[in-house]
Amino acid sequence: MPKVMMTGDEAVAWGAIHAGITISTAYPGTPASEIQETVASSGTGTNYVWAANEKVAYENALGASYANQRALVSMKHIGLNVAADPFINSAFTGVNGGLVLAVGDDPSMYSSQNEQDSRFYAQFAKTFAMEPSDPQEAYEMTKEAFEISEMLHLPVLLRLVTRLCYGESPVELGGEKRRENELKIERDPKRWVVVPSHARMLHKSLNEKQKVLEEISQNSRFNSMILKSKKRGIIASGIAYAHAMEHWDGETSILKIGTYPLPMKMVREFLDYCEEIFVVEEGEPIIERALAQISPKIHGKLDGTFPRQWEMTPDLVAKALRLPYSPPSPIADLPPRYPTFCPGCGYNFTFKVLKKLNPQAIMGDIGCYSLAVFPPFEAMDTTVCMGASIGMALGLAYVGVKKPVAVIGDSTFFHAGLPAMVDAVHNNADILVLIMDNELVAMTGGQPTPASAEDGKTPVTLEQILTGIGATFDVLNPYRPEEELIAKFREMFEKPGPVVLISRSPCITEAKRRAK
Amino acid sequence: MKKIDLVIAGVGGQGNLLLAKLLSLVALEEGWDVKRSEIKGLAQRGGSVLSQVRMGEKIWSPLIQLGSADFLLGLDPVEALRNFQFLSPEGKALVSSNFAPNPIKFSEEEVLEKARSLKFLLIPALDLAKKVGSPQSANIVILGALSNFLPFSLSTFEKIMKENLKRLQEENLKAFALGREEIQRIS
Repeated sequence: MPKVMMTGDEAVAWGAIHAGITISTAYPGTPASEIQETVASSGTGTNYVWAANEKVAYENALGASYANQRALVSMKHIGLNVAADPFINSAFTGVNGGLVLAVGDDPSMYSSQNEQDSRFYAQFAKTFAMEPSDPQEAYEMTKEAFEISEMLHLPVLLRLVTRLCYGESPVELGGEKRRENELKIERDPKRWVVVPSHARMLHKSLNEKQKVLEEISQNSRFNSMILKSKKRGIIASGIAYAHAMEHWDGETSILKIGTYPLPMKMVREFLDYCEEIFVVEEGEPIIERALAQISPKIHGKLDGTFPRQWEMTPDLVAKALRLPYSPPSPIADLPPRYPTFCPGCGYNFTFKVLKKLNPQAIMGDIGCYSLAVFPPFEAMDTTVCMGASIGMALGLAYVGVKKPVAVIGDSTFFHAGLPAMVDAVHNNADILVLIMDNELVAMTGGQPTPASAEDGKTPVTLEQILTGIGATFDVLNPYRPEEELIAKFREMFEKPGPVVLISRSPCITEAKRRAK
Repeated sequence: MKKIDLVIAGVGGQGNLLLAKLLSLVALEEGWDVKRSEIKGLAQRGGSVLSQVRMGEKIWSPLIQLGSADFLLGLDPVEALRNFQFLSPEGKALVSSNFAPNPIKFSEEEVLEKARSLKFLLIPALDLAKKVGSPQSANIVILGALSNFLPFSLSTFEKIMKENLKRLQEENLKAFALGREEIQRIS
């Protein structure tokens, strides 16, 4: 088959399609959104669902797996915090149909609020993880991950990073789409109902499985070793392996890691063979810490050979190996460039007015509107995580701050704002919730929200929800004259208790994209 | 061993990613190994956008080391200067002399002066693209300019452009030719 250029995200999607998934579930999040986008546009008719949040997406996949179907679930690293509950517990219940969780980590935080390392989650859940070093491997690993998942009856975590997700290289797709599993339900409440008496047994059997996980890792073709020079060796995993190989002199011994738990027999052989070892890994020093406990030869992030934060690069490897490295100095005093709202976006007008009214506290959230922190608006005081705007505004109101503002997007409201909104009404909290409604998930490329009527789906509107919980709300058209906007805001500020203002302006960038 | 590393600097909406894609497809078509890397998400909202394209016998990392790029392509002079660190001492910078809108006030002449002092080859990419009636083809003007320096046949460039540019194909081919001529004129 001819090779085609593919990103890591695309390769994961095709791996899952060829592995015979019945469904792909996801909540959008950079750098993983394009996995689901690829499934959606694959032309294979594979069923896919954008869930309201990552927890729901994971539970959808687990439900499908319960009925013996193969399921792919994808999300960004921070999304796994939201899905952590079902993920961790599904290692206890185990899975029936293969379940693969593809997570996009974002080292250096190109589009995220932190750079947490998802490999921790695999350790936490005591399940198997795989880490591809390029798109070809991402494709092959994804297919194999489904086999391993069904063999172990465990979810398998595929750890991706931005440079893999958005890095493109030639990929050779192999073979045909595997037949989907037979749809069947076999009740097994001792496994699937995690009441304490069952859970105690499930934890024991999960622990007993660990030996098998290690054996699979030990024999995996995704781990490999080149024993050459005894003086110096490199242990590298995932995309960091590619950065390390960039500087390979043909002499240094190499141990490539692609699966977790670590293939310890191989690792011990390597540790015995080499006198000095560099561990090159993306994210936290997970491999390094495991090895530093058993060998004094290890260099990495813990001893300062590499920085503790931000992404691994070929530059850092060159410096660590003391190779010639003298880049030119950066050009000083260049005019800065801040990301901002697209020209003509309604957000421009809403934030201009909000800035003028200068409320005591503006609690922000995750989405395009977080850009309001930058000039010329500077109208955002906090941004912590999905849904935190309303939850934190409630905290302020509970301690006596008058009418703090919570700014939250429509998709984020559905994702994690809803429970806090219910609390706001229940506690009659004195807050103003400003819902920035652009009628889709804009920042990640225009995915639909539950309010969308696309593909014959039933729109669940903000108005229906707010009416249902008895919240006072009004709708703002940000394209109206400024005095009108100010008057509307003032009116809402003066109402006691929780009030909601929906600033509605469909995303113009998405409208332009669709017009093409 | 053959190897060409290119960095493309610009801002959201300038066709940076498309330019990188065309380049990688040309190299692939000519039988080279290719890796391409880009940053999306927040960066798309009018911020800086950087693509990296690497081509050669065998490419490992998708990332280009600072001080080692053979070409720095700039769709905006400020963004090109911002990424000057990537360029190797022997490398070439092919940069648009037209500025992308930026709400921050600064002296364009000072920026261009700096670019000239670093021996950037400045091309009025947007002006040339407007000449063929397609302002969004400034990226293709730069591609045409670059084609003078790459060991790939013109017919491969044309084939890849025809296969991948469904809209404004005529205009793009003209923009490519203008960029190609402009370099021959100024260098």
